Amino acid sequence: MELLTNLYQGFQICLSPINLLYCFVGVLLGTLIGVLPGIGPGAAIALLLPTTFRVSPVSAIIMLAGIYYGAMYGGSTTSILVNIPGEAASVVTCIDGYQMARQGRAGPALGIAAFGSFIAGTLSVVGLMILAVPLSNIALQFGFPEYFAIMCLGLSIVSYLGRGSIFKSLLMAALGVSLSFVGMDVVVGKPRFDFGLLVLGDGVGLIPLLMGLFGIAEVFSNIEEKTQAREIFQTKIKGLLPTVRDWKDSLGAITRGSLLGFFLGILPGGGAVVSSFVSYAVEKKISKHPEKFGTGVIEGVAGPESANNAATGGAFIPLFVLGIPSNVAMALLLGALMIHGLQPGPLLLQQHPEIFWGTVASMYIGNGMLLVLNLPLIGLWVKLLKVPYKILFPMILLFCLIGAYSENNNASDMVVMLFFGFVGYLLRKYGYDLAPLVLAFVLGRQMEQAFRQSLILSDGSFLVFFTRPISAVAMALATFLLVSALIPAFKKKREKIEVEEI
Amino acid sequence: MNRRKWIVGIVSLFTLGPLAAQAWGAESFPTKPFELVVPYVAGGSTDVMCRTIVARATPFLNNQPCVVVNKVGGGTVVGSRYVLDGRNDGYTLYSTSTSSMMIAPVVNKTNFTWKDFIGICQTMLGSDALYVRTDAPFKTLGQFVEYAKQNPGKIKYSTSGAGGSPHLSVEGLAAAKGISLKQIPTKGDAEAVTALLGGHVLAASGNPIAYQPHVDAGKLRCLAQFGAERDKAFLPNVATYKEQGVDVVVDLWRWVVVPKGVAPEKIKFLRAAFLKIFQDKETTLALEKIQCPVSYLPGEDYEKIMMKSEAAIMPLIKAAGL
Repeated sequence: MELLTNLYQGFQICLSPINLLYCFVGVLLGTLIGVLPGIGPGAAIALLLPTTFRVSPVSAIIMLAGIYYGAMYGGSTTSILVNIPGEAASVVTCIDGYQMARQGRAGPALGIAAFGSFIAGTLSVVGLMILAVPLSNIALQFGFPEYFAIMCLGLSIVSYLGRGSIFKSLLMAALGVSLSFVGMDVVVGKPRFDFGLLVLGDGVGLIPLLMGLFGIAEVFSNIEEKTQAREIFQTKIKGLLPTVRDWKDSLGAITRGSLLGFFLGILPGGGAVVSSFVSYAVEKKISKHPEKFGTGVIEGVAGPESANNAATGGAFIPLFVLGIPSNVAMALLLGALMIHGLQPGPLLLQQHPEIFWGTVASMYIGNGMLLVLNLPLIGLWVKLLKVPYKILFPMILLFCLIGAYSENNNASDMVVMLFFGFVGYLLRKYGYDLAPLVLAFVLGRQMEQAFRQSLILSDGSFLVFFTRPISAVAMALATFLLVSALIPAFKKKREKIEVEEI
Repeated sequence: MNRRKWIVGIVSLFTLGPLAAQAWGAESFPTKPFELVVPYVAGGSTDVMCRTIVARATPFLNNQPCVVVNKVGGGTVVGSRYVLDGRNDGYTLYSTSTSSMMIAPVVNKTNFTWKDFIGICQTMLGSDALYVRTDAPFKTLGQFVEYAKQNPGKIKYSTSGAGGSPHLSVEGLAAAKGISLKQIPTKGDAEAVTALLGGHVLAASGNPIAYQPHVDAGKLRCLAQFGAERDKAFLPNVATYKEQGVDVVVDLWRWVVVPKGVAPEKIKFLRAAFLKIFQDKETTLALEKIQCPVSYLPGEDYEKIMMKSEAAIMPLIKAAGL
């Protein structure tokens, strides 16, 4: 009952015209930012933070939160249309989303991404509302060994990501992990593997890496395959909305993606990114036709897109209940709370319930707004595919350059991006998938850090990963996943050799 | 003849024109907007402080706005290099701190130090502090040290990063008392406080902004602060290291500076302007609201403060083996 009265109060706050306006501005900006490659919600929230100095704290948080989950909504658009992820959490959407677009099914792909995001977003707000307090305490149970084990589990998923040889996927994962080692060594506090270059002092930036591997490399390889590329535009666009069949295929994926995203979102660091990858792997694992993944199956879009949206709801839990931000965007929201004289922390919920409930209510409304905003846009986006490449490519290049520069205002980041553009072009040409590289890059650094922290904690004993229940289970699961994926690959190879010998 | 006159005219216009403009410009500084460089990402505590300061600064800067520019990377070194790269026309200001001026140059072996800058004013003076859980087997710094002596190597503490001031401050304590404490560095205060709240470490060292809310909620206890004097904004009731007989001082200051080579009359103008900015009631109120321990000091004190800070920190950096 208390829940309902609280929610009622939340809606009262949120439904005032001014807050509705701020909510709308937030989700609109979020959608735009999500669509533009390279410009993430973090940068946008940082830029808009000063404009909220003079409005009431609830309005400010409503708008900034809208930017955050709105960006997750828009992030899938460029993945599907031009194979360039708007942000890291949409990398995995490229795999099947872009293939769908090539078959003229960009509309259903965008549609299921929008509906999936709406359903997942709403489910995660329900979760946030009911489970915030108990779950925040569970999050505290996760120490360094647990994080390491979870990261291992995440990394073992690479074996499900690749379209081709599993060994190529593992090779790419190794490259991703190696790249994550560049930069500041957290335990020693000194830069390493940076070749004395200042731009690598804080590591390879995720945005320049993503924009290079996907955006720039996409442009390079399309210039090369000019004649083949033409064929995409001539494919007839079949329908703008998902069919009944599409819905049937994706409903399970959306539900599983929502649950995964919500729970992984609570954990600090890259919850949205990891959950999108995990969701894709889960769908492939339980699918009746796993071999079709990578050729444009709708579950491969519905699952990850739901997961990364649900993760945004989960990410608010540690922020509101403990005052601990789980990612950069949440850290900025924490800053916004402080600017308005609110002390984020365990007492926030008791002292200022209106902030929490107002935001929760605004997220219900914001999700609805996003759906209404995004569905009509699908028609427009699909038309974008008809823009000739000679106009589209320079635009993509321009946005990638802006994105890489604007994160740190550092021109060297553009050089890093171009370098990875070239690397990405070569890797694609020789049939290496880039998704495992990105996953490994995102997880690598956190994994190494958790590994070393755990060993300091245990005075050097490796048993620490197996004696604690949560980490033991995760480690066992990771081993199982990796082995079960590797055995068939080995078998196939052996069979092949035997055949050749005969 | 006519043509020669023209040439002379044009040439003199090109050569004398800028000179005249320069001479005229010197009298009326400033004539264009300022930039205040912040070597951290937007939204962090330094960034928010700087944005709050510049928000109402325009009237005091001859109606020229001051814009915050984030130059991020290399653990603040990118920002410092950017400012030192010939930007000494007086329009580029820089927000420095204990970590960017004392620690980063040593760790990154840079070719610049605080001596390459000229102080405009001090903006903030705060302190990190040492925290434990309320259910820990020690309630005071004395008991903490005693516990560490009886259980060597058992106390592990989390920090916001190796080589940061919270790390140096605790290593200073360990060296002074002859105890062994093991640091578990994390990626920031948020992660460090989580580890302490979850009971994965026995202590944590970091900025009160992240920890104090949990003290208010009854989960954590603050054992000591590291500054020379008590931080009146955050920790008025917590004793400093010095008060508790530990001869270690790590002050967290922030200064607004310009690179060397800025003309003296421009420095005079800027120092006067920042005095007025900090006398402005609204600005100081806004700074208090964002929980910034405001502490203005005039630019003339720059060398004195820097030398004091350097003398206190360099031995700690050596002791920590950085």
